[in-house]
Amino acid sequence: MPKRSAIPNHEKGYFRAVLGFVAPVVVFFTIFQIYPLMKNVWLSFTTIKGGFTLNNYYQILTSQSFWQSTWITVSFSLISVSIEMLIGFVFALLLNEEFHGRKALRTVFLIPWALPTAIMATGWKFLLQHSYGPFPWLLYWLHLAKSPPYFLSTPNLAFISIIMADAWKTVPFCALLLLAGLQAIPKDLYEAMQVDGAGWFFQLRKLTIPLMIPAIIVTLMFRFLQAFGVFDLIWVLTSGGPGNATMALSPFIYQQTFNWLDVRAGAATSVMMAIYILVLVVIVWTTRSYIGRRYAQ
Amino acid sequence: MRLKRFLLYVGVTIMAFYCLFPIYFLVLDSIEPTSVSYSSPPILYPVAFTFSNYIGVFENIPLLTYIKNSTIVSLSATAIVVLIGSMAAFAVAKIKFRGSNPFMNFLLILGFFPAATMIFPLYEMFANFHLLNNYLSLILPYTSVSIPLTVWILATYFEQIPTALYEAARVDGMSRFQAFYKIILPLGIPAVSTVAILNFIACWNEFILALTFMTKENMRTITVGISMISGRFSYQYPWGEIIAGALLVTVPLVIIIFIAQEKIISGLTAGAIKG
Repeated sequence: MPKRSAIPNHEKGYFRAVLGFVAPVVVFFTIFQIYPLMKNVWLSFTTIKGGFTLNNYYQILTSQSFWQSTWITVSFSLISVSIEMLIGFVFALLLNEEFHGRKALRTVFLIPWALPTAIMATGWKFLLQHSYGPFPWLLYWLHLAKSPPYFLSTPNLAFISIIMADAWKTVPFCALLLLAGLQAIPKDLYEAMQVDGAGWFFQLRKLTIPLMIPAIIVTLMFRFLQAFGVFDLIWVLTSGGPGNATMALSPFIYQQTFNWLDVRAGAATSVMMAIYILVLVVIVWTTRSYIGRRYAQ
Repeated sequence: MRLKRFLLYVGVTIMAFYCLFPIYFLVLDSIEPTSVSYSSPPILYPVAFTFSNYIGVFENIPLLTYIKNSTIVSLSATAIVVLIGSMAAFAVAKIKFRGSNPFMNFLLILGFFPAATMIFPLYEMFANFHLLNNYLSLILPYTSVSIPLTVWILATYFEQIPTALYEAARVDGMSRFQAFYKIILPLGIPAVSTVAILNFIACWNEFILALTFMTKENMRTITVGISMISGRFSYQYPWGEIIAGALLVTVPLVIIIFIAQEKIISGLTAGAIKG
């Protein structure tokens, strides 16, 4: 990103100046991000007495609950992000058209995004209540269910509930991000295609989607990594339950550490989660430059 | 053409409905007297009106304390991160020190790690320094968590400010720090305010750290305060009051959105277009 400045680097006081400007950020980051991560790595490899051990990893890698929460985290992230991108893209295409009240609608779109997740989850907990919550009864009255479903106490429905609540909050957010990508496409490209007689779907397939690929990938990456760390939503809406049906990795780490007081197993799980994220980042990083090259021409 | 307009407005209606229908039910519940809101099956249109939930929430729940705590924590963290983040962004964008590219990527990647992966060491650290149930235990990590977004948005914006301005200031004998706070920072105010708004909202909404480090009732922030109320009543959830509280603490955010929506959208999308 940065190019060489006209002022030479070896100018007097260069190192002191850089140090002065960057040091506060680095200090904060070292104490509150890097140190905790390193400390968790250390904890995960040691016994209570301080000796080296692999037992913590053996314990979690052979436990069913760890793999179950991995599976829950991955499927939650994949399903909710795909739904969000799909609906978000349709919403973005609609928002890109001219209509009355477009500005007002964009403001409305920010409301779900700005709602604190924990508070939104509290609201959804009410909406999904069995006896007096509106949602199960709406499904029943619309004949979509034989009886008002027990959303939060049936394992599969609890999983669907967290996806539903997450989608409600983030579809508008994805739509706004994708809309920005749509608006960056020059209008004359569409005009040129129309002159050549291309239909709406052809324009979408051959112009809009290829040009949107970078914006889609960035949005996808951010959303996926965000969904991967989901905590607030699950903790408030289902507490990981019923049973362990919605226990994603973040709440699982929290449960191990603060409810079971098994700090070292929690640390090992944290390290595994960090590894998952690093793998994801590497995949995204490499494919991004590949896709960038492919669509650059 | 007519049909297309019609379909467009159908789509628009669906979108508005999508965003607002849960909020309708929440507002409805918060203005109903208990006798109506606890009827089963629920009544999905207004039949009776009361303010009692909005009064009760202040009597039964220390809502004002929560709001005060959240405000103190969010404002302090935002102020600190804007100050130190803009300094680092200036170093990246204008001094262009060697290693600034790896530095930026490092910030970005570390920002991806969820708070759960570092929560226990932080807890242990604050416990050792007797900082649990102290505002600092939230202000400091919030500042740190906000660094990647802040530095990225600000560095991108500072890059667009002509370097000639900076160089002219330096040639005229200003120190780097003077050039920063007299030239670059004032020109960067639009981006600085965007970042401040985004960080304030993020801190206001944070949950897991606030849940862990603030164990005393009177130190809780609003997200934890509101969402943990239900746990204190074993027999019957005071849903009307909880929802009223949830809606009340959302009002400041909605006001911010109405005032600053252009800024928020530009900040959110800064990354998306750049790629």
